[in-house]
Amino acid sequence: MYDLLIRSMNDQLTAEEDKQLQQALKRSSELREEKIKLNKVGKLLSSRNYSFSDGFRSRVMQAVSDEKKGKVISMDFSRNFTSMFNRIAISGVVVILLLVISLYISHGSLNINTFTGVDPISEDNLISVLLYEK
Amino acid sequence: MRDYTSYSDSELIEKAKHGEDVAFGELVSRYEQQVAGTVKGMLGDNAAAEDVGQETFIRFYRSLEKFRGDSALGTYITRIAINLSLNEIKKQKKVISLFYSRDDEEKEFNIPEERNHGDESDTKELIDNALLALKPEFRSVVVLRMLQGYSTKEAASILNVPAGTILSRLARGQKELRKILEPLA
Repeated sequence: MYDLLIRSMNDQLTAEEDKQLQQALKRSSELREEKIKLNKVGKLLSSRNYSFSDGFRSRVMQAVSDEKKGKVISMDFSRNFTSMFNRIAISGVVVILLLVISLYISHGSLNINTFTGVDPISEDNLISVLLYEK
Repeated sequence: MRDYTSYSDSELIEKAKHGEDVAFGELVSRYEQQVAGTVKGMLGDNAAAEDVGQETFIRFYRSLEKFRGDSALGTYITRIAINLSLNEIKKQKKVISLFYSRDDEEKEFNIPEERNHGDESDTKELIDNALLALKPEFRSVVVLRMLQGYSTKEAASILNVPAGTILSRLARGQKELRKILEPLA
């Protein structure tokens, strides 16, 4: 019956449902009390008035003016950062790929020495380094 | 200086389309309160709601050319405001889930018992918190039907769901609110 009571506040009940509800309301003081409380909640909510802070209209008009001038409206840093992140990531990957290709072209291979920039250590080189004295 | 208050919404839209910013400003004044009710009912009385309110009018400005007048202007702007509010809630949830555990996120809403419920600002705060305690899908229906006074059909059109869904969500929302606002009812 409680569901029917709530529905009666938002929707048109059938004649039969309405009759049932009216009878239940006559019988049950608890249900009558619930009806009063639900009505109070409804009134509380409809009495809640919200408004924007002072200067809201001016801020909107400034944003519209900026929009007209083609300025980028940065209302939320994180929002912009998220949308920029993909572009930055893709650019980064492209740059890395270009570097790898240029390394391959200049060195003819892609071994670890190519990346570290160290010449291959041959036995002769190592001996000459070890024997060198100031 | 021209007085724009006497113009109808459609006349103001036409003028705004032709670059008359003052006409658009008049539309902002007319619907500011309605947008505030929608976004603050959905997000609470905070800075994020102010930003979403501002974004609502900017989106509306961008879509002026597309507005054909099929629905009332208020309904059209409210649809933008609700969609942006729901997006904001999703975004906030993502941030919350990064920093808090699911248990923290789903903690039940409790009304502080030591409050003086006769105080007007406390009452406002309780209503705001009660609304925020509702799931967004119920909250959006409650805001449209109970705060903004839209009919079931209009709310269904704004949220793009069947009228039956509006009624069932509204009933759930009312039951929750009845429990949460017990001290005031």
